[in-house]
Amino acid sequence: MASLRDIREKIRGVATTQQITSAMKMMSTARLGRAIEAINLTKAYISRLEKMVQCVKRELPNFEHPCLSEREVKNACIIIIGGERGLCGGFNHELHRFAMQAINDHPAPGKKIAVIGRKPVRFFEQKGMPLFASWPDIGIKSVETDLFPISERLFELFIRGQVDEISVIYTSFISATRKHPVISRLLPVDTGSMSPRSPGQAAHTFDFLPSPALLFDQLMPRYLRNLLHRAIVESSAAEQSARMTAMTSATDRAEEIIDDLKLDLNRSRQALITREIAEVIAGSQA
Amino acid sequence: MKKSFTVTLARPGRHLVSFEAKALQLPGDRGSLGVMAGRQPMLTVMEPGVISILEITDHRRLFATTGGFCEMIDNEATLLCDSLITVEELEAEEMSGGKQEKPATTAARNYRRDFTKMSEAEKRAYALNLLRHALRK
Repeated sequence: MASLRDIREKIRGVATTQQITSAMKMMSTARLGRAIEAINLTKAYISRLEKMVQCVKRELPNFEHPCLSEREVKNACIIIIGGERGLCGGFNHELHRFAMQAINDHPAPGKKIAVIGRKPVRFFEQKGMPLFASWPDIGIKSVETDLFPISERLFELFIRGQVDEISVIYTSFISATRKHPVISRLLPVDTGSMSPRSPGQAAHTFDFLPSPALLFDQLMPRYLRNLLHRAIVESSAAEQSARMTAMTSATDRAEEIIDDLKLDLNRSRQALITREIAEVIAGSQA
Repeated sequence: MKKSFTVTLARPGRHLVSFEAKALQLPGDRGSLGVMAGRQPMLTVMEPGVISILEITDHRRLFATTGGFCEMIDNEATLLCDSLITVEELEAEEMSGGKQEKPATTAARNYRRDFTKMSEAEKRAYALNLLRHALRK
C-alpha cells in the first residue's frame, strides 16, 4: 500500500492538473462565445454577398463566367482547415481521417492539397503527402488581413485553368454539441441552389458598373475570401467547443480521481491507526 | 414617390449598420457616384474613397472605405465594404497617436490611379487622406 505521503502528493498533483483543465475550459468557453459571434457576423456579410452573385445570375441568365460554369475536373484544389492546437479530444483526429477519405474518394486525377492550421500541416507532413501550399499560422485572429493573398492566389489558379474546382474541408459548427467535418465546393459556384426569378417577381433593368464580367472578376475573389473566412471561423468555433467538452471531461475525471485518492488516503490512515492501536494493545498484554 | 431610402453598410466581422437616407455618395469605378431614392437598380464596384450619407435628419455621415460593392434595389442600398473606417475611429486613432498612417504614396496621389497595384495598407492610407480632406471642408 502506498504511504500517506505518496497519496497526498498524488492528490496535490491531480488537483493542480484539475486547476489547469478548469482554466482551459473557461478560456475555451469565452473563445467559443466570441467565435459564435464571429460566425453570425460572417454569415450576415456572406448572405449579402451571395445575394449579389444571385442578382447577376438572375438578371443575366445567359451571362457566362468561368466561376459559374461547370467544367470537367482534371485538377482539383482541396483546402483543409484544421485545428491550431491539441487537447481538444478527437477533433483533429476526426478531421484528418475525414480529409484522407475525401481526398482518396475525390474523382479528379490531379489533386493539389492546401492546408490551413498547424495541426493538419503537421499531420500531412508526417504522412509524407506533398502539399501545394500550407498556411500554419492562419487563425481566427489573423483572418481578415492574411486571407487576401490566399484568396487572390486561389482565384488566379482557377481563372488560369490550373485547377478546375476548389473545395474546402473543415469542421462545420452546428451547435456546441453538434459538429462534424464536411467538404464544400467553393468554385465554381453552385448555381443550382440559386433561386431563379419567380413568375410574380418584377424584372429589373439593372445598371452594372462596370460590365458584369469586370464586376464578377472583382466580386469573386471577395466571395472566395469570405467563404474561406466562414470556414475558418466555423472550424475555430468547433475546435473551441471540442476543447471545452474535453476539458470539462478532464476536470470531472480529475475530481473523481481526487475522491478515490482521498478514500485511499483515509483507508491508509485508518489502517495505520488500527495497526498502531493493535501494537499498543499487544505490547500492554505482553 | 418616397423621398428616402435605406442604406445598409456591411463589413466583414462587424455588425450591419443601417440608415434612412436622402442621398448617398460613393466612390464608383468612374468617379464619385450619387444615389437618391427611387434610383434604377444597380450593382457597382466601389473603389477606395469616402462614402457620404445624407440622413433624413440632414445629418451627414462620412466613412472611408478601401473598396467593395454597392447594390441598389427596391429603394434599398447595400454597401459591402472590404473595410470601413468611421470618423470616430479615425479621431480615436489620431488622438491615441498609436497607429500613424503612412502618407499616401505616389501611386495613391496619382489622379490616374490604379488601385489594383496598391496594397491594402496603401488603399487604407489613400481613403483616410480623402476622409481627412472631406472633414476639413
